Amino acid sequence: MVSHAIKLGDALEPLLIEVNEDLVRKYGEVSGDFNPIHFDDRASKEKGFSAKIIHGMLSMAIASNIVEPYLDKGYWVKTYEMKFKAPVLVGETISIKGTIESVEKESFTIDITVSSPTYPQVAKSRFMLHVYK
Amino acid sequence: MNFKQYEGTVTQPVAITITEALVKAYFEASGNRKSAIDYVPPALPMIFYQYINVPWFHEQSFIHKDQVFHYEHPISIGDTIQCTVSLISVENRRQFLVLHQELIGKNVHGKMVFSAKSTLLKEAE
Repeated sequence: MVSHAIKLGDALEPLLIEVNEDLVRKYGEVSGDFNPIHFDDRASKEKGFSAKIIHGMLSMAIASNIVEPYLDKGYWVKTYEMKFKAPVLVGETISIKGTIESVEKESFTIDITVSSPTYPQVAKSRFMLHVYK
Repeated sequence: MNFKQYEGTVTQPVAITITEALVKAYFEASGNRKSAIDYVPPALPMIFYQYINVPWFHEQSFIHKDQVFHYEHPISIGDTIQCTVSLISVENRRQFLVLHQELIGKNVHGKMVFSAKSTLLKEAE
């Protein structure tokens, strides 16, 4: 059963993470994705961006850190979805904010917004967490 | 590339074992300096693409629009997962091609552990 401490409308502890070249390089290495738009400003500009951009899936990896406190307390991720709205430039600090959107007997959902200095909404996301049995 | 010719194609299965080193490297890349690895992050399966021969991905780049992970149960370090990628559909939408594809992971008994559905955009040639 979901803990009574988890309440509809509660805000999660927000995260602020600078997505620097080191993180982008490490994500490239772990994923095998070395698309030049993530590493070379010129290649990125040729594709219409203002500078090199981070991997979309790196945003998703970083944003999932916000639910870690629940994963340490007996919940697991049943679903995790993200809609990518705008790119994040390498070197920007992104903000991840979350709110409890619904609470059921054995699961709850969290809505997440990812923003950057350039775009107020770079991604929208939702988690469904389930009680570990 | 004629993506339409691959519609309905499913790749050969590839067995991938979740190691602590892989999960640790993934956490480090996501800015999480955990001292103990006590869970596998939910978006990690996307890095499995590098081990799978996906013919419609050869020398292509896409705009990632939507991503949905669904788990039947959590994955753990030491699990070996059989992974395939299928191209579900290819649609024309204005100047873009929209690809819907799915990475599926099954356990050693053939039961689905997770699915990772992606919506990708490609400028039409």
